Amino acid sequence: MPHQVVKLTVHGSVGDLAKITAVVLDKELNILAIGGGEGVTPSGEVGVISMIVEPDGAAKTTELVDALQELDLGTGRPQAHVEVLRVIHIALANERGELNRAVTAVGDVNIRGIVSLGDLLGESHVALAFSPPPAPDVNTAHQRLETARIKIVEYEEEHEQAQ
Amino acid sequence: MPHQVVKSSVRGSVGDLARITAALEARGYNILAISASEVNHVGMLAIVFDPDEDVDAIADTIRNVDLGGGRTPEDVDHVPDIHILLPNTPGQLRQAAEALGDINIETVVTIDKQQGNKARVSLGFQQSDLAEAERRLRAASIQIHRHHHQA
Repeated sequence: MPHQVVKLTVHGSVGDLAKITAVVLDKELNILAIGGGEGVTPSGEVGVISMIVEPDGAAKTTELVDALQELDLGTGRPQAHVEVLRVIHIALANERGELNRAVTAVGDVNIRGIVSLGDLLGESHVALAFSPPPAPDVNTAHQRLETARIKIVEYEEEHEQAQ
Repeated sequence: MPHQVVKSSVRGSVGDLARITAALEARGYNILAISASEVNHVGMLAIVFDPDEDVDAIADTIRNVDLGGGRTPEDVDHVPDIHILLPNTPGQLRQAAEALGDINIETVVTIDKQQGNKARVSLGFQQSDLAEAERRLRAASIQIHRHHHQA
């Protein structure tokens, strides 16, 4: 199964990252990559964390999502909003403009998250996150990236590289 | 100068990220790592550049991107960051986050893997919190990575 991004939105406060990562540890999961920041939305200031954990099979992901949704962030604050997004893992030449080439190829499909995965063998690996099926976004984005000759690292190939 | 993370919000539309990265490419800026998420049609970006000495000009470039419909990126700012090295085992980021206590982490971005299979992670802070954040991380035996720019 392709990797997934677990995305949390919290009406943020200092110390939330520690609480969130404690839940991940409690579920005996390893954070493979993470990205996040704060911003202002129509509903107020929020913090967003997107993370890829391993292992991230369906059962483990559901377990993590349930635990994060129950996470007590402190008095008076709503619970975290948690979403699971589907990842396309791409490998880009380590040159300027390569990320632009990829996101341009995706066109009018909404990229709902991006997480850097780091460099490997001279390539920059990036996770692009999309709404999961039944939305057509992942399949459409996959086709467009292929057409644009963006290198897609399929899940099986990724695990071969890791070994 | 400490390294910097450039952050921005975009009152979103599909294709905004392509416009922003195109503007950065046109100026020759190199994205080392990126994090982006969308909430309620607001996109939030945190980008680490290498090199980043020209961070004010980078921020201006993002600020001035024409996103169409009279929109431009909002809340463009840059904050100094600390690069930490975490062993590839569960619980390492939690340890770092707990060590920081009541210091607000503005941004978090995974950068790459370093020697010893350690993950390099950028943590962004307000300038006023930076020194204390580094002190607390060191006190908790979190390894700080001294980053060297590309030539």
